[in-house]
Amino acid sequence: MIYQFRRVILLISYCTILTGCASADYIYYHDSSYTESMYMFLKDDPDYQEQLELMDTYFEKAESSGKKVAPGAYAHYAILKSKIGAEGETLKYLEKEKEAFPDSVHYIDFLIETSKKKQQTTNTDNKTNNSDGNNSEQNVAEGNNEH
Amino acid sequence: MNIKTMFFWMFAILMFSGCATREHMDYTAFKNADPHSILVAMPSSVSNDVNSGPAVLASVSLPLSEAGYYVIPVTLANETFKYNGVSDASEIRNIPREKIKEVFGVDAIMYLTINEYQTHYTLLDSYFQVSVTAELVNVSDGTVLWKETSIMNNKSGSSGNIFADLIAALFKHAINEAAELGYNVSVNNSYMMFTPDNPYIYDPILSGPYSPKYRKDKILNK
Repeated sequence: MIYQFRRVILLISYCTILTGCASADYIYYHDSSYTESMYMFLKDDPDYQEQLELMDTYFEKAESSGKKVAPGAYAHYAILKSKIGAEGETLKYLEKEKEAFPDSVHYIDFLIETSKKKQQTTNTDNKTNNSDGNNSEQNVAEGNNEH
Repeated sequence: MNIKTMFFWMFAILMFSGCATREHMDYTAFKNADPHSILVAMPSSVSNDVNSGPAVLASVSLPLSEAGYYVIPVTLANETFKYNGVSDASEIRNIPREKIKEVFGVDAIMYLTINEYQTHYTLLDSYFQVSVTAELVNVSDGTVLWKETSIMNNKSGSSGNIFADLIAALFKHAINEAAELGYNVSVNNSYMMFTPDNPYIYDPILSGPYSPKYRKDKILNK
């Protein structure tokens, strides 16, 4: 009896798999590397190099699959770049996110604007303190609009 | 195989699944609000496991995007909250909606509550179970557009849920250590929860504007 029940379940799962495959028409490229990279970042894992490598894998696989890169992937890459001090890359990838997803424009522009304002204030501070230069992109995620 | 036995079991399964009936939700508000972009906030969690929030938050991004919405980059948003001194899920809930709109420019915000994130020990086996409640709130007027709870575990190597097992097979994860079991189960749970017209979810989320299935959800005809 139990054995027969299992066979029914098996049969049903085969049907699901077959129909499932036919309709697995994803909009974006799905891969564990992107999610894992975000997970590492969110639990404050300081190994940004590994998180960047996971994203490189994601972008490469997405490109060869012909599927679109998912929302947030460029922006996530941008923040990882800022963590390792690659400022030019940060802005480049934020722009890529904006280009691919117009819904992100408001937020990313808000971040860039506020970090510019902040940089101006910090630069004046730096001049008086005679300390070395800073970069706007490292503060880009702050979105602190107190300034 | 005895065909009668097969029908008996199929009937039995239908009977059991039919028992737990409740009214389907009214999708009118959700349809009318027509959200395009969603901010997913760091979940509040009853679990002591510090990784529960990060695991669930990271796992939501891809499936929710695939459902047809623009998901605000979760890591960037989390940094924005942190730099502004907001680190706690309950603090995020207290941020005025106008402020959320001003910073993120989103149509809706997804609040997540982790009801369970732990290992269960039975006599012969142990399994990890994750339970999450998601609540989609309209940023402009604060109305709840959609709310659903989803539970997932990895019982005996399979979840006992064909749909989830299929997903699990598709997403063979590099992280396989026991320590990351919660993360793996969270990923499967999020794919289950945020797949429109998923037969395993009573009130599935509607397909968003970037999905080819937008406005064609079967649930809208029920």
